[in-house]
Amino acid sequence: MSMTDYYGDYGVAEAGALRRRQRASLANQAAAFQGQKRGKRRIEDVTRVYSEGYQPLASSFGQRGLGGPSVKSGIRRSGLSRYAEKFQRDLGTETQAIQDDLNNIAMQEADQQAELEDYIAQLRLQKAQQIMATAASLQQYASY
Amino acid sequence: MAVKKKSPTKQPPKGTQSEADRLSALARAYGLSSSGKNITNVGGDVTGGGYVSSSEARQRALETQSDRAKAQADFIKKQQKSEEKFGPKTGGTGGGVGSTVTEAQRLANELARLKIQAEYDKADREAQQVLDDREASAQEKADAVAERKRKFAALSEVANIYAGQGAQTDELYGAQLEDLPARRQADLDALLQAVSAGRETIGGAEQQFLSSLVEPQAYSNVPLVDLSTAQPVNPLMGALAAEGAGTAGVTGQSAMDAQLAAQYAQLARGSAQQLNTGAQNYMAALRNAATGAAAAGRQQLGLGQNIYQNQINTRYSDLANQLAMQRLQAQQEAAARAATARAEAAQYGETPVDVPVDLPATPPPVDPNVAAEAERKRREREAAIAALQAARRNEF
Repeated sequence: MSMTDYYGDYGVAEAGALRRRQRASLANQAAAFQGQKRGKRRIEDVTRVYSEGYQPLASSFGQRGLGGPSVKSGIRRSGLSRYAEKFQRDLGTETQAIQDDLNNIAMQEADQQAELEDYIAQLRLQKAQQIMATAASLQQYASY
Repeated sequence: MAVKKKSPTKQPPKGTQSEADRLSALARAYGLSSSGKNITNVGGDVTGGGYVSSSEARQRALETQSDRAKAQADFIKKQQKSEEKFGPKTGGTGGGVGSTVTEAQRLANELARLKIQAEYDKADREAQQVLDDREASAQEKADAVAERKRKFAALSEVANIYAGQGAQTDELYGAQLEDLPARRQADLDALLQAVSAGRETIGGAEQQFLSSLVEPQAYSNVPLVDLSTAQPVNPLMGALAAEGAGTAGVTGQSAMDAQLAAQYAQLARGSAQQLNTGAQNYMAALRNAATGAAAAGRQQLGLGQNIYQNQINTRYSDLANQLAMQRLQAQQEAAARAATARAEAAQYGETPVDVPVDLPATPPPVDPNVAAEAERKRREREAAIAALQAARRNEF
């Protein structure tokens, strides 16, 4: 890697890194938004599916004589409980998926920011080291 | 006309049997060939005195010719005296007809006179040649003197230039040597300023970095969701309860869901808290790294200051030594060249340098007979010279 890659480009490398970082941040924000949106839709889908399935489930118990205004069947209660539990588990899965997506995007954003800071710090350190080495070399006296 | 008895062949006296051989030997003894040419030191250097010259060789030739002429004259004179006293020789027959002998003697005398005349003519020509050569050598000498003066002047100028180079060398190197301490101090001051500026830069970078660090907030306020306490009231549950459905299972499921949600939310909050702690530790590590880098930079600056300060001092010391050495070498070289030029100029100076000439050495006499022979040759040579001079005066 030549010296130009560090500071001889008069800050082009740093500016380029910052610009790339900005684009990545925007992409992360968009991904987070989209992830949140997808998660919400999936939860809504799960809720809709289970809401739409409730009537057929309740009817099936009635057709079998296990349910009605005066019938309190244990089978029916157990079936509804499993249905509710399954519904809750699916909701929890989708909720956890939303959380994981958002947290992954947040960590990705943090990683990229940290990488940017490291890169800029390295650029500045190498620039300072090069300046120091040049100043310490006393090249104009190398002929002696 | 009576036939005259031919007198026996007149024999030359002892020692003149081979006159040409004797003259040749005499000439070789004095460094001449039998024809009178110089066989040693031919064309010697023209000198203003002390140099071997061709005129000297020619003088030798002239003297040799004089010796030969004197020898001839002595021989004829002795022969005439002998004839006046004892009558003409008959070649060992005990005498002969007087007129015939007289005529023969006269012819012999005439022949001898003609020989002497020829010798003197030859000597005269050679003497004239010597005079001509002397004039030529005089011109050569004048040219040589002029050349010597020119070389003397040129070499003296060269010597003066090199002699003056010492002062120029001092001026050149002296200025540099004098400038070195100021330059060294300037370099040391610049180094100190650079070190101070480096310290300020390091301190500024450290403070800027530390001030830019903020406490990590990424995991401190994570908007975590806990839906455990937000169970919605569903109308369907109420209807089911009204129809006789039990609530225990629903309540239990709801409680478990709430507990799980709370547990997950707590887990997320704990994770965020741990991550927040880790982020703070990481920031602390970065802060320590910056502080450590600043300390290392300051240490390196201090070390570099010492190293470069020593190197600067060493370099300027080396420069000073090199300049001093170069100046000394330049001065010595200039002095050596000036001395060389002076020495060369001295060879062409007013006082000529005597150049040793390898003259033919006369071996010392090894016995009295040899010494007597040498003395006889010397007298013959002197007599020949005197006869030659007399002959030249009388235009013989």
